[in-house]
Amino acid sequence: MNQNRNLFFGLIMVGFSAATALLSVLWTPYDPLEINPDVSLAKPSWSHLLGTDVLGRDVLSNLLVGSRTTLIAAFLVVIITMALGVTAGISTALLPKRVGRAAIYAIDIVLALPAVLFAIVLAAIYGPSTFTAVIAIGVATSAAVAQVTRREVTVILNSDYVVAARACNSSKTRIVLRHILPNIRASLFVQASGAAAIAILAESTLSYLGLGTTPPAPSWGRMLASSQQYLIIDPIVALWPGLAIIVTVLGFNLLGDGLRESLDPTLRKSRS
Amino acid sequence: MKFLEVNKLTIKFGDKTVVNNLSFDLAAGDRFGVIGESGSGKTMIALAIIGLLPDSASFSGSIRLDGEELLSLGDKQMSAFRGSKVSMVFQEPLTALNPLMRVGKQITQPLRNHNRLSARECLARAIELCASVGLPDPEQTVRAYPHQLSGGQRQRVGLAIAIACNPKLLIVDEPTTALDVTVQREVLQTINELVKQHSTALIFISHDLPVVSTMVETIAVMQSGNCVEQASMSALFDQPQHEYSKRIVDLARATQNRFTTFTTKATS
Repeated sequence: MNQNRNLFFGLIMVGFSAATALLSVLWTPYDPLEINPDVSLAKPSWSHLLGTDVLGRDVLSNLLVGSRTTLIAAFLVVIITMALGVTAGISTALLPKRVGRAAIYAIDIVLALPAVLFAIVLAAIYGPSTFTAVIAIGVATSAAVAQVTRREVTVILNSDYVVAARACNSSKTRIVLRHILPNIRASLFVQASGAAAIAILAESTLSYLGLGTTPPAPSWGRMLASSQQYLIIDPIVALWPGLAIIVTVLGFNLLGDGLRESLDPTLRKSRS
Repeated sequence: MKFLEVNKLTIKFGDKTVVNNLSFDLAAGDRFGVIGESGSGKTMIALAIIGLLPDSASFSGSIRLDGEELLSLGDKQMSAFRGSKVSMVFQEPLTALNPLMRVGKQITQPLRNHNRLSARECLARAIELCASVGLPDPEQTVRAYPHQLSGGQRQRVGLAIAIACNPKLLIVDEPTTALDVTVQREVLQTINELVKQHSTALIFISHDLPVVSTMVETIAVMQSGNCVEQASMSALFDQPQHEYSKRIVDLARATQNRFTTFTTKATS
């Protein structure tokens, strides 16, 4: 229990977010887009559990539907980031020295581009949407993943057990699948969960800036942005999306750490 | 025809020569030692024979195994030899094993690379190999991870991997340097038995003359990349030719003598 506390709480937090996203497909207390000026900025009550925003929309309903956008975006970003980053990391480590170095410079250039700038460019060309935000975040974070992966792969490629594997005639593919991937998987899980956390924050940021999810679709970042204007009158409206973001991001980080621990056989107790 | 012929082998890293003009040959079942201080190019000889020299190394000369020239072979052709005809035991038993793979799988790795075997056959063979290298409780050991084994047991796993495909030539690179003396003795005995049993040719690389003297018939003394002397074990002890050989023989004797005086004192 003590050992897997991270995994336990991470799973609960991420599971909670995922459950609310699923719930929102079936049921929300109100139509999240329904405007009701009579209850503008209502305090939390039994009819509106988390209160309403300035247009009288139910905050809980928006939060539930928003989690869907957020989690799907996070999921897609993780897939893009890991696919690009891990492929680039492993292949630059395996390439002959000169080609590998050229590839690293290319990765450095991507790393130097801020995700927001890239998102602005994409939004300018294709118009802002969750999709352009996801692509921008995915590509931008993959550079960091590629660098970390590359470094780890280089270390493992020089390790005795890879030389030993080559000495008993293992092919390159086999070495990558059997020796390299298992030995970097702990780090990959940490990076993937880290990427999910970054993606949620970045999606919120971009939506906040109007470069991500477009209105009226609910998103945690946009909810934060719109509640900011009424922060002095009704600070509690800003609290809910903020809390949702914190819980989910923390959950993903804990999940990553927990997975890393549970994957390391030296940290496991039993012999099997 | 000799089984292994190394002829004028020279290995360089840039301008630095790590092995200079080395020649020796082995008949099948011969046991050959290479001794020298660290940095004298011992390991590079082993890597050259098994075809795993780093890309930054340049080499000349020839290595013929069973009549086939190895140095001119490409990686693909070389792979037919690695593990099946030539195999190697590494110096550090912990780092030479993948920490995340059960030892049974690692032992049968060369088998799966060379022959198609079912999972069940692999497991049976792994257990068999574990038993033959003297690992305790083979059925359990094949399921263990490297960190659950002691240093000596890990080195036995390394040995099991090396002999999995019944190689004709076994290269062991300081296999007992990381082990304590009692375990060292047992592992050396196991190597000795296996080599004799399968009449495998052995190249034993070491910096420890007493250790290597129990294992081989002929020996090459290396000093900073040059082979300064090649002789049978007894000839080396009787009449070392080179300055460096004399020194290591004297040192080995001195330790031996000190040890004997110490033990006689202790027992009297």
